[in-house]
Amino acid sequence: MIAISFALFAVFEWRQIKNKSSNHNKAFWWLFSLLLAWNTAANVIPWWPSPNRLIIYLFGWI
Amino acid sequence: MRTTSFQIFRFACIYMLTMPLAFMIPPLIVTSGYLGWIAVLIGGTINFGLILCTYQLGKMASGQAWTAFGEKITGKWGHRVVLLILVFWSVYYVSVDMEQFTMFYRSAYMRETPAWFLLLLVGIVILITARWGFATLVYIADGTFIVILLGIIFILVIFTGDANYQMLPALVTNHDFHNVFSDVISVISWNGEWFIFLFIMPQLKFDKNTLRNLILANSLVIFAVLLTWLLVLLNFGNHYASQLKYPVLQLIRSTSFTGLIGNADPLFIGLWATSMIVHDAFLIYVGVTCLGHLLKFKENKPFITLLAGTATVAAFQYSKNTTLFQKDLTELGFISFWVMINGIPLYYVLIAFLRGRLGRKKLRG
Repeated sequence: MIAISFALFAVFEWRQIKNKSSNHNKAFWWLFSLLLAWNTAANVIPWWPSPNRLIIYLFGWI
Repeated sequence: MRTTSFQIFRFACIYMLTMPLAFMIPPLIVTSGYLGWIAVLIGGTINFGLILCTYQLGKMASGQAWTAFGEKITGKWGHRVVLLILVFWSVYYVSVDMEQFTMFYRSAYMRETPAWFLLLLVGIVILITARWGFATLVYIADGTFIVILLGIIFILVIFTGDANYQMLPALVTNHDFHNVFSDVISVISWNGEWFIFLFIMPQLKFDKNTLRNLILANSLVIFAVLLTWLLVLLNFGNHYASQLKYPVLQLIRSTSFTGLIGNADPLFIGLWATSMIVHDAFLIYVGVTCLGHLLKFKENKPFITLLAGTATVAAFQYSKNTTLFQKDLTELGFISFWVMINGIPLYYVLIAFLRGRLGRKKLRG
């Protein structure tokens, strides 16, 4: 799946960086998990909102 | 990096020309018919105002990266909210671009190919291009500018062959103005994101030459869009042109020239796709720069992968329901979101003016 392949590549790149502080590490893994969860849901769940839907929900009243 | 005088002009042209030339013209003909030229001219003039605001901000920043400097105008948290919105916006824009390109390419050349395959390919290409870095993007734009410009001139020359010039008086005699305002908004949403050139700092300077380059780029974009719109209208007429989804492609393929010229549409699409990839890679670069500043990272490469991957997945979501996607693109709410983002330099200049910081030359600290 698209989301998994990009996620794996991102992890691979993250591991290549040396001298990471623990704050950076935490921030990266949080962001990674958030995006992985969102993208996997977008791939698998049919009714998951796309960014288009989010914009229309927010601004569709105009 | 090596800089030349008109580098930003070439980069801005490559960035701004692609999407309007390919996708803005059919909806404009549907809504405004013969009066689309008014919307393009007014929208283009408003763009000059946005460029001036951007120049003002760039001058105040004087070499500092925009992500760091903006805090001095709007305060820490106001600027961070804007950066967060820009991260979302850049990923969103890339996903819309990818889906439009994939829809166009699949419908014209690869009907049996599943959408996810093309999207994955395009996503990987954008990812690799973005990883090369900002300097490389500028050099690519430098190199491809003259080729793309020649390609556009060539296409326009082909169109003049079969154009029906007797339709020209309709441009001024047809008085149906009720859609002009919404079309002006639409034009600004398509080619109004001049604030994005604030992100050329610190690698490139923002000075009077940059202002000249951006104004020239805007003029060229207005001119090219007007000419293409006019020739599409003169070749197909008002009614039929509003039915076609990709009139430029139809014109290239159905030209009365034969041989290499008549079959050169893959060449033009290749050139156009190159500039689209540069456009999207720069957007990912902007998103990653904002994200890196928000999370205080120095190494940004993994974020490029994450953002490009998110854009690909979003584009895949759109591809599951292309009718809804196309309808959403013409909704006023959607267009308004875009225009609100494009107005960012205006808000910053207003806030700087209200806080009395507009005239100050030095805002370091």
